[in-house]
Amino acid sequence: MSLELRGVAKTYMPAPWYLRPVVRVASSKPVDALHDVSFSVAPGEIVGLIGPNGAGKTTLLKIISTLLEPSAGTATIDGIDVVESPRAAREQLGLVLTGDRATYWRLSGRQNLEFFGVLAGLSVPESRRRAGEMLERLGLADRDRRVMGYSSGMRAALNVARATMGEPSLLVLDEPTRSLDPLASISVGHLLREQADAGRTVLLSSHRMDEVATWCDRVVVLIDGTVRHVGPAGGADNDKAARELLELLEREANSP
Amino acid sequence: MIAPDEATITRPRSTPLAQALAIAKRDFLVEISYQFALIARVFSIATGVATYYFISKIVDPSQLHGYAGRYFEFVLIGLFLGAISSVGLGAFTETIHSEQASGTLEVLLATPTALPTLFIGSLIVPLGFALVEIVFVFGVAILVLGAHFQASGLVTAALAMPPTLALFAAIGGVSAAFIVLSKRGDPFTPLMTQSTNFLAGALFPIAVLPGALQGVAHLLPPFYALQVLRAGLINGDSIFEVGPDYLILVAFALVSLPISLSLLKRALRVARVTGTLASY
Repeated sequence: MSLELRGVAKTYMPAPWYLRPVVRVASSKPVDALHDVSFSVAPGEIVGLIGPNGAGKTTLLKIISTLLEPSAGTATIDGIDVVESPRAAREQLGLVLTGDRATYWRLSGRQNLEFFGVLAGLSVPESRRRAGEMLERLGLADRDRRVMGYSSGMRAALNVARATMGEPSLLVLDEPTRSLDPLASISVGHLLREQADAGRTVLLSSHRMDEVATWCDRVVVLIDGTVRHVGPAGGADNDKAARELLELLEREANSP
Repeated sequence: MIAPDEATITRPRSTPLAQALAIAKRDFLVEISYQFALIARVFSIATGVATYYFISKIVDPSQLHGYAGRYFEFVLIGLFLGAISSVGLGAFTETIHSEQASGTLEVLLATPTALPTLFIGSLIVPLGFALVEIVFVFGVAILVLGAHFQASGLVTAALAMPPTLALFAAIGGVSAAFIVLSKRGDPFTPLMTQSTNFLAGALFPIAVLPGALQGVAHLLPPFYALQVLRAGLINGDSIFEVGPDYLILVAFALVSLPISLSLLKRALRVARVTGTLASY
């Protein structure tokens, strides 16, 4: 398995007492965000992580991305533990976080891709070649202007391209289509499917049932930091699967 | 876009040097995109030099007997150190701050780039600009305003640069650690800048300070950087003639850099545990 999560838990702890005057956190008491999260994702598979706001989706993705440390459990990428060997894990990882400010807006798309390619471990010529290839693929090659002049859809596509520059084995995306119009969303979906077809593992969180049902092979439902359901996302039976997920979410939302 | 078998081909990998240079290229491109900031900076430097030139006209040379009685040259070296210190102190802190503001800090830290590479890479462009600034200031001072320096001391000054920059970068690393945790209000940079100006003798010789404060000056690393630079550039002393001061400076740098990197790593760890890495 490319991504393996076993018993991952996260409790946001207040800072140590001697750092409290300096480090401000949301709560002065421990906040439980994830409990015993376990699932795996295979190479070439797209798994959708779905759940209501505050379910712990972003927390989980940040743990996988080495940006947060879990309180318990293990997360491995191609067998590499993200806590024990964070740098080695990052070599296998491409990350897209929610929002479109994950590139330098005063640089062009090409300059952004070349920069992140080298930081992801590509040589300069290889990064340059791959950036050109990506821009060509995204239809941005002839519009190599500063990112501040891009539309939201172009930025979202550029973010996915940025995350794949280092040719990671795992692509982690947190609501990559938030604030995108349907056409731009579809374009991102095609991009993700291409990545999975190239053998990459894709884990994405989303609020949108339709895109999870359409793009993903499997779905993980996360509610109150706990995995409530793991199963096929729909495939040929998208509508039925989406309806079942919706019912599950509604049931959970209405439960006392 | 990428054939499955193509993804498995081993590709040439980037080196830490290539990564540091990529950071420098990014910083340069961003910096030159703010053209008015560059113009304002040149204006600020020019007026600063002119101000000290005219102040030097009213300074009694007898107060500067250890420095050939020349206040303008004396203070120019203080400004030289100020430029280097602002690079070392501010570059990485500024990087952390601007990455937090632009929303790129997390994606940057999710790359496999090592922290020391990020640290060194963020120093390159500010250092380059500072060196251009120093050449400009000294060029104008020598060619237009008649300042005089000893060419024989250039080697001494050049040798003083690496430990001086490393020293200030180390303090800058502590500032960055503070910014990672608190997001704003780093107390180290202003403290260091003011103590360099006031106590270490950047703008006036410490001989005019009360005795107790002169003692404090000897505890400050920038004091030794200034001593070495002035001995070289004003008096033409070789590195051997300023040996003790130089060794103290090097020792400060060697001790403070690993401490600084360790503090920065710990600050990032705390931010990863508390979930405050990207909050701003």
